[in-house]
Amino acid sequence: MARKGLIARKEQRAAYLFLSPWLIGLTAFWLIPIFASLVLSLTEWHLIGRNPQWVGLQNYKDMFDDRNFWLSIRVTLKFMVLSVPLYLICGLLLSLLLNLKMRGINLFRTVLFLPAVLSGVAVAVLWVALLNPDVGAVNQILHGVGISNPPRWLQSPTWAVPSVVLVGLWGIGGGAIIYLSGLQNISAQLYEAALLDGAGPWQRFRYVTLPMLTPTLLFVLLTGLIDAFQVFDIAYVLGQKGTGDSLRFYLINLWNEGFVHHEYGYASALAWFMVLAAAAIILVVFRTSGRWVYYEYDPGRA
Amino acid sequence: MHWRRVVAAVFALALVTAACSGSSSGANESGEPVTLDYWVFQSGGLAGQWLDQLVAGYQAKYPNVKINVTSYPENNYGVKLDTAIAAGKEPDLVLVFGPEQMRQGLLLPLDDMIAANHIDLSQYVPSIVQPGDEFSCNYEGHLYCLGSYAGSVQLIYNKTMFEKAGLQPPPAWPPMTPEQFVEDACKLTDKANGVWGAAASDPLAYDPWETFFSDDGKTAEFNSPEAVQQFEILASGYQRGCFPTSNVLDPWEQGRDFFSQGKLGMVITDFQDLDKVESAGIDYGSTAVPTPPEETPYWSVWTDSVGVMASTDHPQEAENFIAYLTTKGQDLRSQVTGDMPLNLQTAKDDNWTQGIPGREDGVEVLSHARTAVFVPNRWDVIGPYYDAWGYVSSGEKTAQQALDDANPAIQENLDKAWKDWNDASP
Repeated sequence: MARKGLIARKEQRAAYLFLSPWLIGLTAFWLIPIFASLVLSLTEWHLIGRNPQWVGLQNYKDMFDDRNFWLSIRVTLKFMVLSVPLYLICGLLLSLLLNLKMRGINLFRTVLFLPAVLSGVAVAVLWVALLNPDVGAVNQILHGVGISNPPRWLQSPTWAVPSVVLVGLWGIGGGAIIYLSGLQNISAQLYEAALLDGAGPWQRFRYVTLPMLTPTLLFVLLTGLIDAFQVFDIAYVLGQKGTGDSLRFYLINLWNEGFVHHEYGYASALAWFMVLAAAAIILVVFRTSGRWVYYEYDPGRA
Repeated sequence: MHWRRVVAAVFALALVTAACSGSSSGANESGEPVTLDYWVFQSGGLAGQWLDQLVAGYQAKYPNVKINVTSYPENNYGVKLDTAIAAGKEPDLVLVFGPEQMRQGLLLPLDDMIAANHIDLSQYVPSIVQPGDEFSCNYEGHLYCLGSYAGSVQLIYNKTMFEKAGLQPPPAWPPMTPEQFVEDACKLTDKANGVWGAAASDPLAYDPWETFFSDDGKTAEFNSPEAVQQFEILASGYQRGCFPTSNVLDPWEQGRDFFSQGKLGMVITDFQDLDKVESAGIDYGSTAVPTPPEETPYWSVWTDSVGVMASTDHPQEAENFIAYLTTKGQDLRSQVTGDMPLNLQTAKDDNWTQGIPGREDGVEVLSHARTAVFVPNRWDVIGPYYDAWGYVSSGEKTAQQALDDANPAIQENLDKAWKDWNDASP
């Protein structure tokens, strides 16, 4: 018994030894900064000059009187409402096409996935040129099909957020691949049974594919919502062309407060508000997911 | 007797310490090795060559000093520096952004160095050495930085096109009015040959900031009759097809290229890289930016603004570097990059103009440069202004509507910027 205990302790030590690089990294670069940002959010700190001054919850109270805070919430919610359903539906339709059994389908899958692995900055630079209202390819095509007064895209404050949604649409290949894996996990027996019952293509989609895909839909919905809170690089690059406040996304505003205005305490409070708001939305989605998400094996229902 | 031994030991220690510190200080002057850290923007091309030659020249003059240059991307520079200051690991020599570091006491005043080196500031471009806006090196009467060149916004125009159109070319000073600018642009426009009369990004590229802010910088006046009129004047140039939109031609990035190709009659842009225009054989002139008759002209002027961190262990060597940068460095820069010296007398002594009328105009224009009203974080404060210009230039709103909508938002930003500025005061 004693020998067994000795071996177990040795194994335990070895396990911690091998885990230690990760644990040290997690503590030094994750847990400590997260805790520090929570403490900083309760202070006024400008990085240079005076030491942090304790202000309690004042930074959180100040948010509600801050025009740019509300503006950034509006811009982010507008993007969320426009982009999340659109990306869900388009990603799903694309994955249905990619699930077809035809020659060269792997090539299509690769090509459509490519934008998802490109740098956000490179994609933004490309789309700045494509969406140029006077000489860009998009408006040239719209002129060609008879639209005489096409949108001025990023130059128009009205169209700036829809332009970012359009740019994001180019990257739905990433979501489509996740759908595709979900589609390929659906048992062929279910389709055979539906066929035997006389179900047509629409009924097979409606009563087999869609319900069996709901766990994947939930995952893509949650990552889409989180991504909508995290829009930064594309808006930062697209916003360089003088779009004013129309692309003041939440993270852009947070960046400005911290690294332009040097209000690091307030910026930390903004970051924590975002975490809490995102967590609340995700919690609501999780709580309501029981009504529309179906699992092949659900121990709760069994 | 024991206490006597203690006192003697303390004295002996003090004498040894004094001797050591004395020898250290003397050794620096007599050649003890010193390394100065100097943080710059990432720069390649001619500016990079100039920097290499500047450092080599300084190190040849002061063989005991080594300059350790570190480059950072321009948009990360401020964050890197602030973080380093907070960590107590700042370099000795830095590029200075605005007055914040000056008022926090993070930089050494250079007044004694300037006097000791007989640097005549009266010959420098005034807006850099007088107190004022974010580009000034002067804070409350003390100078905290100096540079090697003068970058500025100016209006450059094609003299041949003016003559062909039967127009009188504008003098270097005083500037033309915005109305005249738009009228001349429309007369120079030749759509059949792809020639635009002029390019300007937006009204704030040339209108004085005082058109849009009160004299103390605390009240936004973007919807005043004067400001609305300036929007309408430039918008009319766009609507009449005399100006390309910034989508067709970005005046800051492509202005000199199109001007060099003879596709622009006038452009408000950076007065730099003039070799491009001159080697294309364009007969050009330069004038101050268009200004309403009742206003004093204002345009942005900048330099490399190098300062010494107060925490440096080697203030003498660091100040010597700035003295070298702003004297020999200016000569070197004008030779290597072709940039205009910050010292207008140096520009004359070095024959920077080479008798080229456009360059002579540029020197004349810069002798009138002034600082603008100080607005903290001004580029962020005016965010809604760019939205307003977007609405007006795309024809979605009238100038009055757009600026009536934008002004309260700018005022809120302005109030917050001033509150932040006051909260952060030392």
